[in-house]
Amino acid sequence: MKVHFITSRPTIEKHIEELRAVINAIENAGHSLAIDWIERAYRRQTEGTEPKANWTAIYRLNLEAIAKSDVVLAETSYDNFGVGYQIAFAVQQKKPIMLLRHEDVDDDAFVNGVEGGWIIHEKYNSQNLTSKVNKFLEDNDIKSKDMRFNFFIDRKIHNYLRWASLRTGKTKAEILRELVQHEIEEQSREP
Amino acid sequence: MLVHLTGSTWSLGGDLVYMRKISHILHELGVSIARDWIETANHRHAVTKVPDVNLDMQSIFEENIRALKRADAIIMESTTYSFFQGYQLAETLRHKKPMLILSRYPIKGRIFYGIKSPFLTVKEYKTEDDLDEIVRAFISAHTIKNEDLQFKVSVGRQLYSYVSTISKESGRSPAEILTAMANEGFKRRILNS
Repeated sequence: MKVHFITSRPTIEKHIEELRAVINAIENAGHSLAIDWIERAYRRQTEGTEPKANWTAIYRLNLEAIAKSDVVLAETSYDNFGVGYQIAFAVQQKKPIMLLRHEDVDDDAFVNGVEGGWIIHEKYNSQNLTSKVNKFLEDNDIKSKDMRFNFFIDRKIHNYLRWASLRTGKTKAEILRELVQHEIEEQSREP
Repeated sequence: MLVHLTGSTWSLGGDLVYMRKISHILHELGVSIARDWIETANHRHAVTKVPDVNLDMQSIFEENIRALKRADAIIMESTTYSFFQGYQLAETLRHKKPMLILSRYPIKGRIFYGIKSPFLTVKEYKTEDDLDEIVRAFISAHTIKNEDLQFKVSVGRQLYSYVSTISKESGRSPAEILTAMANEGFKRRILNS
């Protein structure tokens, strides 16, 4: 799976060990980062060679990374504009999201208001961080989920699908996929 | 016109005078504010000194998002910006609503400087007078006049025939049919964005 990992750029240097633990958990589970930006940013911060940020490029790169990712992980212990922007974008894209927050930080954060069927909030410490990330990745690993299944239909549905298939030249599976897609879109329209 | 005015509660002390000025300008222009939170937040911080940990952040979050959705335009004070402002910016752009971002710090080199959208206006200000000019210009540019809500449409013969047929079948007027089509197209654009 492709995983996009969001964190606050200004706090990378201070929390690099925790961020590395998350990255290791992702890579050890056989997944890859959509963009491997954290080590690069850390090196530049510690060497004092960080160039002036090109926000147009960073903005585009991150949104592309979210779009191509299967899941999104975000470290949200520190209030950050860019993190908020990216999480909103990931929520709009209906990506499974894990919002990590260190158990030592206060609860008075707007990130706690982000809700949705695909979003989980997790508090962590250095002992349980890896296991929480692993659990999230396992739960959302597309390989471990059924992408193909058999299902039983009654005569009425069978007749409808056969008729629709003959009329449109599409397979029954294509018609069903379109119906589900339509249902997803209808649900997205609800305020 | 309804405007959602938002900013950072963390830096309300420093922003208060400017937030009040924006509210004052909006009231002068006859614009309503979707969620009037500034004086409440200031009272909480400055007078009762209730710590933010005691707040129901989830309901505040939801109230803001609801205000954003029902507003015609959004004004965001972003001299000090944080998580929720980033979140609201992404939501505003998704709903294709005009947004004015204001900052007393130079905007060049700040993250929202990189976001290009026809719905987004980013302005730097130093004084209350600057604010007055910027906010009035933004509201004037995005106020939809009643006469603009009604206009004539010339349709081709084919489209006329189609709309007339649907109109006879459904009992709806051609204008209702075209409005429904435009709404459908708008929703689809939001979904695909």
